[in-house]
This record gives sequence, structure tokens and C-alpha cells, in this order.
Amino acid sequence: MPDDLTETHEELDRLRAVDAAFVRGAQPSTPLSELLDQLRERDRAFRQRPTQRVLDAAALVSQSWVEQGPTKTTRWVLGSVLRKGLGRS
Amino acid sequence: MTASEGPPTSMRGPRFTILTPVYNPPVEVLADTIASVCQQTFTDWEWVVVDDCSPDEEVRNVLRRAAAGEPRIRLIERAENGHIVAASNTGLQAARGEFVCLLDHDDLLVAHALERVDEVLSLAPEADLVYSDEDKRVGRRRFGAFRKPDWSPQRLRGHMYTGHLCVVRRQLVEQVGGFRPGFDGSQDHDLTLRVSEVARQVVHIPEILYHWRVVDGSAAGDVGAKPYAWVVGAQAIDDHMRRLGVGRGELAHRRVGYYRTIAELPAHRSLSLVLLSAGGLAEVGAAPPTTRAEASLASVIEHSDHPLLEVILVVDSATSSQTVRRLSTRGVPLRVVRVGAGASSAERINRAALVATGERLVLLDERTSAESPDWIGQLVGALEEPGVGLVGPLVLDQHNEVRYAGHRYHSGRYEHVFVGTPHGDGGDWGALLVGREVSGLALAVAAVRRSDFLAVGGLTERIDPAAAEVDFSLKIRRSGLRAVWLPHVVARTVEPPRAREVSPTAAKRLVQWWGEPDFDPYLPF
Repeated sequence: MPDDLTETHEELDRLRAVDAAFVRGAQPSTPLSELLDQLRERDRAFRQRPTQRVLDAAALVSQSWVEQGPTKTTRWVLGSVLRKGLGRS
Repeated sequence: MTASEGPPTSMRGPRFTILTPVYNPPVEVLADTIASVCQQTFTDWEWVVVDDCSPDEEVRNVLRRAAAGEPRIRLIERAENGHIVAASNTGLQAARGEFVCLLDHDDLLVAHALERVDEVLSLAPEADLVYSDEDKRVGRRRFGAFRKPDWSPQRLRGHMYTGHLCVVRRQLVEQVGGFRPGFDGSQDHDLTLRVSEVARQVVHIPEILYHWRVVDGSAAGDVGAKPYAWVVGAQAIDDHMRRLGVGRGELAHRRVGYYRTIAELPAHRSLSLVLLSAGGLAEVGAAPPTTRAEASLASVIEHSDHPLLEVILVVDSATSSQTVRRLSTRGVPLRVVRVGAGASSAERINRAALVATGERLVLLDERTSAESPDWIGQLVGALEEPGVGLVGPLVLDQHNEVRYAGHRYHSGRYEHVFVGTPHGDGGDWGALLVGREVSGLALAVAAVRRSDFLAVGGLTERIDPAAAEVDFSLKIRRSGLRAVWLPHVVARTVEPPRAREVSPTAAKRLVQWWGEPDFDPYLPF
């Protein structure tokens, strides 16, 4: 299937690897409350990471916008690539 | 000339090859199609028109006059009728354009259609497949505007939603072997599925760039007009699923022209059912088991062949020890997570996920029960596709009306779609008949990989529970995964109607975190 979010997949793989270590290392001695705190911290951190691809795509369209002025298409594509940050593929 | 400069323009093929097989359309309809192509504001095109031995001499005369008057029209007259696949492949062999633009002999392009496609291709250089919105036309009357979803691979397995205007990089069409013999009538659906498997990017242009004319015998006017097409269409879906190794496909029984996918859950896959119990009693008249949690678990066991590794039962003080004891006798290992009465549903689910050991989590509220066959297998099996991260079923209420069929985020609002629609209604453009990507899902019942759940930080506890479900869906999608809703996996809920509605305050927080949703990519109407 088309995969225009390679970076985010790689990021997810990295997180999964961290997660595996996190869970392996945590059980059974780590208290659940401590694990929950770590999960909450990950939740806070998660939404603060824009993907490089989104930034690149936005820059490309912005350049086109500067050179050609805002057209219906550039406005639409800009919105589209920004939505890709939410995982559209 | 250096390699980077490429061949001079005169040696290159055109940007677009419009490809149109023709077989005996009404002459006046064909003349309109010809005019709509010749009036394109973008001029770097050729039009390969393949007449498939039309019996009407006037059709051939119209085509010959058009080709004589417009050098960009290349008319090929087949010596014998070969049907649409053969005619399309004849045209494909002659195509020289960078992109092939599929156009039926009774379609009408809007004047700036190719100009818009060219603009988008310039901005998205990796786009290999482009499609647009469409409407229908009878005479001069336009109706039935179809505002299509952005690229939605699951939906394409349910019906041929991309339709026309369909523009495909020619290299890819050739790479997949062109149109497949035997798929006449669904040849474009089959081709789109095969191209999508190798395309780098698929782009939707949210504008109506062509009109589908309703003429006798066309599928635009009557989906039953080409029954043979749906049989081979189901074969196309089945082949696609098998090529991807994610199950199979078949005709959906309720409507012609719609298909459904059948997931295949490997026997070794370990599942943890996260059952949230609030100590509620089962509905009046229910035979034992007597609590909602027991009824809910019983329904899952009854409707599933795949064994559960464990049930993670999340309880507060409202759930009695007798209930827990009875649940422990259902033949599935039970692990109990005790929480305080004030714990949010997000915290309850997070705690359960942290102690679960299965590869997949099935989240289930005690007010929700399983109804359809192979319930676990179909719900969780969809996660076998690597790009899918969150799966939800059709959830009906006690009145047999839709309660949960996916989220829709638009105009700063976060809402459930098709709430109150009678079960069996197709919804807008078949949206209730087909599996499809969605912006988000209610977590009254849903399946997710445990690793993904933990990787995104679980459910946020900093916002009300309904908004946390939106936030979780967005985090899953932000990870590059798709949220998928499946209509053939059915659950029933006794939750009150507005139990999972996002409050205005929480919606503001979501906008702060994620930006304001303008229009929903999957349900843009």
C-alpha cells in the first residue's frame, strides 16, 4: 500500500522497541502506578512531535505559494499535507 | 543535452494520454464528450480513442471527423469487438503520455480538469494515482454530487469510490500489466486496486472535475445495469486482499455493487479482552448471567471462535465479589484490576493495558455486547494489515439504530456519524455499507495492538473521556496508522444516547492540541 509516512512508521517502530524494553524491564517489580506515570509522560510528549515529512511538504507548498501566489490548489494542498501529520496516507 | 535536462519537448510524450474505449454510445452523448476534451484549458494531451467495432456507422463517422479536425486525437478502430478490457489495452499500447487519464465515452470533463490535475501533480511529484469528485448529469441537469473521501484503501475494497476522473502514471499501469482480461465491467476497479498496491502516493482532488452522464445501460443510472460487473468486482477485491495477505473479499449481500472484506486472524495471535465493569445489572428479562459485565463477556465468547488469552477485568467498588467470581468461571483466565470509583475510563483502560500480556487489546464497555459471527476474528483480524492501527465495529442501540459508526471531525466539531440511522440504511454514498477509514472511533468497543496503545502513551487522562477517544484516534493516525470502521462486525450497546459526546470545553482543548479540523478527510460532505 502507498506509504507516504515512512518516517512516522520508523518512529513508531522505535517507540515499539522502547516499549518492549519498557514493559520487559518493568515487570513484575515495577509498581503499576510508576508504569502509569511513564505512560502519562509519553502521552504528553507524543503530540509535540511534528514529522519531518509534514514539515518538508509544508515548506514545498509554501515556496510554491510565495512564487505563484495563493491559488485554490496550493491552499488545498497545504491543508492536505498538514493533515498528513494526522496519519493520512 | 545532459541527462538531467531530459529529451526536448518535441520528443517527449504529452503530459496526459486520455484513454477512451468506445462502443456504440448515443451519438449526441459522444459529441458532448469530444467537445469536453477539446475544450480543456490545459493543452499538453493526446486522446487515444479506441472504437471497439461500434455497430452504429454514425458513431464511427463522428469519431473520424473529430480525429480529422484535432491532431491530438488518435483514433484506433479495432477490427473486431473485444469488449472494454481488450479495447482499453489496445489504447494503452498506443499511449505515450506520462499519465493515463481514464475517461468513459459518455463522461464529461469540466474545462479545467486537466489543468487542475497538472497543478496537483506539480505539487505532489510522487503522486501516482489521482482522482476527483464527481456528479451525475442528465441533459443539462446536474445532481448527485459525490464529495469523495481522501485516499481510503479500505473503502476502495467496499466499492469503486474513486471512479473517474482517474489519472494514473503510465509506468505503473504498464508495471501491473494493464487491464486484466476477464474483468470487463469492473476493469477500472481492478486496475485501481492493483495500482494502489504499488503507488507511492494517491491524491484526491476535492473538486468535481467530471460529470457522469446517466444514459441507458450505464451504471450511473442503475447499479443493476451491469450485474456481471459485480461478480468480477468481487473477484478483484478477493485477489487484492490475497495479494496483500490480509484476508479475502466477497460480495456484500445487501446491495449490488458493494463488497466486504473478510479478515483472517492467525491462530497464534494472543488477545487480551479489556472489560470495563461498573457493576451494572443486565437488562430486565435477561437470563443469567445477571450483570452487564457477565452478559458482555458471554456474548463475546458465544460469537467468537478465537480463544482469548485473558480477560482484564477493571472494577471499582460497584462490582461485587460474586460477579468477579462468576466471571472467573467462564473458562478464560481472569485478571482483575481494581480502581477507585473516581477513576476515569481512560485511567481504567490504561491500567488494564499495562497489565495485559496479549498482543492485541479488545476494549469493551460492559454496556456493549457482541452480535455478529466470528466477532473477535473479524474485529481483531483487521489489525493483521500493517497500516491499520485501530478498528471498530458497527454499534447499534436497542432500537436497532446506529449509535457508533466512526467519528467525523469538521468545522471545529467532533461528532459521531449517522447516529439514529436505521440499521440497513446505506448512508451517504454507501458509507454505512462499506468498511472505510475514519477520523476516529468510539472506544466503547475497539481493537488495537497493545504495542501501539503503549507507544502513543495510551489514553490521555487530561481531558474528558469522550475527547480522550478522539485524541487517542488522532495519536494513532499521527503514528501513520489508519483507523478503520467495519460494518459487518456488529455490536449492541445500552449506553445512553449522548454518553460519548465531546463537550465544548474539551473540544477547545482538542483544537489547541491538534489544530482546528476544517473538513473531515473521510466524510467530507
